[in-house]
Amino acid sequence: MDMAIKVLITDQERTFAEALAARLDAEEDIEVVGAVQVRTPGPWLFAATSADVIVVDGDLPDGAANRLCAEASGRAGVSRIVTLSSSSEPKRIVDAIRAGAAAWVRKDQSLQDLLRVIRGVARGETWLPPSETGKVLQLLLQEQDRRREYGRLVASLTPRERAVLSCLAEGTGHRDAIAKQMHLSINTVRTHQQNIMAKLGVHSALEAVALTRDQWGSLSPDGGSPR
Amino acid sequence: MAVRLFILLQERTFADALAIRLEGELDMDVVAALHAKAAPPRLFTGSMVDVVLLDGDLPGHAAFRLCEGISHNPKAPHVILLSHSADPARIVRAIRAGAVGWVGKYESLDRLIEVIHGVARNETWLPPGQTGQVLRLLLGGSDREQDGGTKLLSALTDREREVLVCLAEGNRRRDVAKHLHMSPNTVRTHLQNLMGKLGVHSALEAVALTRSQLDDELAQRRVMS
Repeated sequence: MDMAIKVLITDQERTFAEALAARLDAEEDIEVVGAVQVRTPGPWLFAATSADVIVVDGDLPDGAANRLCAEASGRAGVSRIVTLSSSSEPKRIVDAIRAGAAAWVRKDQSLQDLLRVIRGVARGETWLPPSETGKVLQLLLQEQDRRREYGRLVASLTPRERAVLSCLAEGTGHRDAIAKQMHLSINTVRTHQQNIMAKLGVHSALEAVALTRDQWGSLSPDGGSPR
Repeated sequence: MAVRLFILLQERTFADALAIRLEGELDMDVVAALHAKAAPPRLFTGSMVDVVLLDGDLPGHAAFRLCEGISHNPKAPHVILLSHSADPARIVRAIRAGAVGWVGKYESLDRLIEVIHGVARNETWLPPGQTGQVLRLLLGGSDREQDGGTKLLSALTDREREVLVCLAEGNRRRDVAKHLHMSPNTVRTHLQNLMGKLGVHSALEAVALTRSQLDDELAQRRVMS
């Protein structure tokens, strides 16, 4: 037989964590390495255990579950995370996926469902509640459409306009600073800005920058620029 | 009430066998089982069908086109694609075309039956092994047809890639040169070459086009470091 799947369970409620641990441990192919009651799980979880799968309470305050997922996805060979939640709001599921969660299970799903998901994610699979999968996909498709639309808009800018936009996005600041940097007159920069705003369909330079940031925000490697 | 099924597959034996087997389920009713090598221009399933099992391997984009045609109608039946392939980019196309299920032809019949029951309850079922990649494609936005699942970045040299990543981080050309210890002219040359390879006309477009893959690349570097 293959090696047992090592599972770590965390939940806000101790009784729940322990009951779940006892039940999962009864499965032949699952070994519960710990059941902890936590309100703020941190990276110490990875250091403390060698779990293949961590079951995390998705209803922890302040998005703690997603932070943990993000933490896990930045490491090699680290546990995969199953989010267990009483909610199945598509938006929250999307956020969890983006953070790197491998599965989302509703607390009112059957234990059989949870077992199947745990075994699945241990094999590298990804599981969402089938009743919500359609809505989750629709949300993602809409986002993708918006991103493409933005790509098209940017492609309609002239090179000069793009340069001005990237100056704005970099925070070069006022028109006069941009004008100086690009060796243009302030009036020319203003004209470029007006054209950019018209092409992007926004009403202020700030909106244009916000739109650009939204789409590009996640590009830098450590969330910040390495300069 | 029984789930009413409409089956359209390329291979006749497969269509017939599947029809007979599913008809044997107490709560399933096969309304029609057709086989066609080439896809019909449109498929009229009528209003008496709950779930359509459609061959995802029909030549060209026929499966997606048919799926779109069926799903167009608000009271349309749910479409499940059956395919040899589990290419995430194809799955994404199917979802865009309105499909609510994707089952590999190599999967078990039990799995197919489970998916049929699921979609009849308005659920959506994807192969769990590919769901992660499908979601990542959607998050990154790179299922565009011209990508065809292949990596755009693979055409670039290491140096060109470094220049692109550096630009993606928001550096100006001048700073890129400083960062990578190149002359500004070298940066310009790399940039021209990579824009040529990507078929775009500006650095910004190059970044926009390769965004999701750069994300992957950056993530990978993080994992490796």
